[in-house]
Amino acid sequence: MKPGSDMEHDPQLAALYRAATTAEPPAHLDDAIRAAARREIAAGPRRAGVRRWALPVSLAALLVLSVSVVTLMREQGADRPESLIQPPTQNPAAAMQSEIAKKEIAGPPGSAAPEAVPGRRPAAPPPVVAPAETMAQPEAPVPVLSGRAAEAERGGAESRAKAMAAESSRGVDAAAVRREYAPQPQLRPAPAPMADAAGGAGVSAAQSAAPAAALSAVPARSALWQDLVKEPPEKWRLRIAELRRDGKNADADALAAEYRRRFPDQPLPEDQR
Amino acid sequence: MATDSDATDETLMLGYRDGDAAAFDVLYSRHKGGVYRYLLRQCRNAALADELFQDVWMNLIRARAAYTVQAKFSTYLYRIAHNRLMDHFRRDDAGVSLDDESVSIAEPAAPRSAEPEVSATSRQQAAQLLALLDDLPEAQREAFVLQQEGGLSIEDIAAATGVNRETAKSRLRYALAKLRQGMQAWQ
Repeated sequence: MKPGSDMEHDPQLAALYRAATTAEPPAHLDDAIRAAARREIAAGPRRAGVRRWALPVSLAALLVLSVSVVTLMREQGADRPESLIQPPTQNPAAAMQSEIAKKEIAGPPGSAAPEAVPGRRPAAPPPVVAPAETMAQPEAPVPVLSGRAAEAERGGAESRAKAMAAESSRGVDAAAVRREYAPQPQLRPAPAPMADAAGGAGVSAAQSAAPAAALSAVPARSALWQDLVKEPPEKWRLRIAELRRDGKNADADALAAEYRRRFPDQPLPEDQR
Repeated sequence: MATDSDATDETLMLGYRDGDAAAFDVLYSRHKGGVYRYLLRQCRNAALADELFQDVWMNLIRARAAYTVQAKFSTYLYRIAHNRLMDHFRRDDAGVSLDDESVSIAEPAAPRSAEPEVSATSRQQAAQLLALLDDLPEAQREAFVLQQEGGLSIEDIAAATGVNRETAKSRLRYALAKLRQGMQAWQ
């Protein structure tokens, strides 16, 4: 070898190596490999193109899908009806409780309706399913109240309805709530004097006082004939004539009605009817 | 046209990737001998070299669609060949050993020279060189063969064999030194 040859290159060794090694692959391998190369080209589309575009296309599809979903959710959120926010109660028991609460708020029949508060929503019906005993429980008798008592009762019923809704939302048994806040039966107030009723203490007071006065008049009328019960018809006719003569026609009419009931076969004379 | 004879290897490979079969023919003609001899020198078995040679080119054909120019084509091709060789050695531990002296390489005789005396001397020198080459460790022999057959630089050898530059350089230096020392008798 030449003394000045490069440490990594030796032209003489290279030339000697090229002269020593002349091996070539067999011809059948050449043909097979060239044929395989042509088959690969004729096999189909370029998969490299697909690979190159696979990632961008995937990202674009993901972006479009995400935007579509977000847009759809926004549209649905804007168009959502209020009924979806507070779905109506389909439970019949809950609906019944709601009706009861409304009746209590409205007060007894004949009383003035509660003032409507603008924008105020009625208490939501309790979602708790009422037990069977509560559903079968008859409504409490509606008490007859005077005007002031009716107003107080309306306020109490409203507070009871709120409390029931609050208790129901906490999952408390609806029956227990109803028993606790059920309207307490009140004693029928004493019959108001006729002067009070005529004084116009209120429509409900006048209406409630009229039957009371009628009831109180019944024993007074019966006193007209207490001493005549065992007397013959002639005595009855004499008493009726006296009452007419004194101008007490109402008492005379009442006594005549009783006479006709007791002595239907003995009619009154014309001047006593 | 990618199939021009003076087109670079990389241009030809890109042409083949894009469907130019003639470009592959040019590439194959340029590198088939070098790759085959590289495999034959490393595995020292002609039948096995044929099998590995076909596998290397088939791997190149299958990988054509993903080819991009990131290095010299020869470095890329010899990297495929090196990997295939390593796969074979790993899978077939009981197979041919690179240090097995008994395995002979069916190397055809060098072309005869016009002058009989010169020809005899050259044949003896070639036989001596091949014998020295076979005695080299595998890595050193590989570095030398890659330089001679593929025309690879030290950096290309390092890239093809998966080692750093200094390692490739050291292997090549040791190989050359041993070959020079063995060929001193012919000076």
